[in-house]
Amino acid sequence: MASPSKSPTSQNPGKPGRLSGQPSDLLLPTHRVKMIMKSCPDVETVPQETLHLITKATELFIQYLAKEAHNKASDAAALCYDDLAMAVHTLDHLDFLRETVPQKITYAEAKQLMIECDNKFEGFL
Amino acid sequence: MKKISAKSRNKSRSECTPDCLPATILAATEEHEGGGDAATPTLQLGNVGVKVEGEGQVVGLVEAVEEVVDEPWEEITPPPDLSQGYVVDLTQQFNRIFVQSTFDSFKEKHQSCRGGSKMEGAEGDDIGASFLTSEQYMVEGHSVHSQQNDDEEKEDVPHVLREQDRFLPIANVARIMKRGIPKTGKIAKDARECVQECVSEFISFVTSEASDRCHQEKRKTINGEDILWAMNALGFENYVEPLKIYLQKFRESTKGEKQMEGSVEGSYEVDFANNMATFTADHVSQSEIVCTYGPGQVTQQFTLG
Repeated sequence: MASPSKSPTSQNPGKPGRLSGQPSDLLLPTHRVKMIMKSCPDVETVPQETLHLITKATELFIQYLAKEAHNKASDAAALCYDDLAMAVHTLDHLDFLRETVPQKITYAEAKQLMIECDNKFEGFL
Repeated sequence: MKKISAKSRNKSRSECTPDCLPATILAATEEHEGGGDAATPTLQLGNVGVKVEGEGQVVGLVEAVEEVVDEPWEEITPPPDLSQGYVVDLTQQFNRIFVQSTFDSFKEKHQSCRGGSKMEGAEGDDIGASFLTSEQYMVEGHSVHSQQNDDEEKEDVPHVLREQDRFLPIANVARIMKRGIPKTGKIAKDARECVQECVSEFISFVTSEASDRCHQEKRKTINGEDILWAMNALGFENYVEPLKIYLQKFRESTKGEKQMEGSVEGSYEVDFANNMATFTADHVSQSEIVCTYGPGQVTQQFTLG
């Protein structure tokens, strides 16, 4: 059936919230993904195909992260930060996120860490 | 009156420390005399009426020393006109405007000394009027604390993004997260924001890995294979095969764009536990593609109308 390609919005009038020009199979804005990619040093050309691929991979990743956090959740009804931190610190291939999602510590623990740090460096003064 | 050359300016500032002063500073006394020539080598906080000399002439007057910096002065445009003998903070390190506020107090304090100084046309309120109406130099530089905000400034170079551009929209992220949890589940706000950051981190992570590979192979364009290789290398092997299938469909859809009704659309389910991915496209004109990939085997079912 030779028919001119229609824009996603006219193609799927029943699907609200779709940006015109946005590929209809992706839930994330590709232009924003591209901006993040371009902020990496030495990145030059990013073709559409690559952009789509990474966007799709990102969608899968979000889903995966949420699912893993849910598995670790103490309260299955609500997902909170601590569940995410637990998942990140348990799964090996999420170790690149360990600085982004540090585990929460109490003020007392933080204070103790600072004292230990000071003690460590005392010898250098 | 000569303007301070950049060299002498830089020299005088770069050598400024709380306890030492180059010979360019003429006097550091509370009662300064015009044209004084005794070089007092100490500039201290709280000093009043310190003349600044450049190239043999008085070019400015430091009304009050509030801070002594080690940073070298930087060129500012337009360069200040120092012929009036007013105070200008020539550094761009401080977000202060000395000029107006100090001039008035300067007038009051140093009325008697005016005759001996090298201020031309210094006659009572005339200075004030001419000063205020003349070119005023808003020496507005970055305050010391704004250096910490440099990361958030918008620049032409895309290395620095605004806060809202660094992350994907939280609503979209939350919508996708909900797919991974039971329908009745809720997601806390801090969890959503956290995932938002993680996602940007993920994109950067994969992109930089793929980009490194590109550079190693002396290519400028990151292609799909680079991304898949990066995913594999970073521990996301599970994604590789489903994404290969997606890539294939995308290429087919862009090729046949004029024949088919737009791009391939469908639902995508990945079961990581069993290393299975199912891709179902149900809006492709008159054809239904169901693609199932299982561990160790490729089971593809194509149904064409």
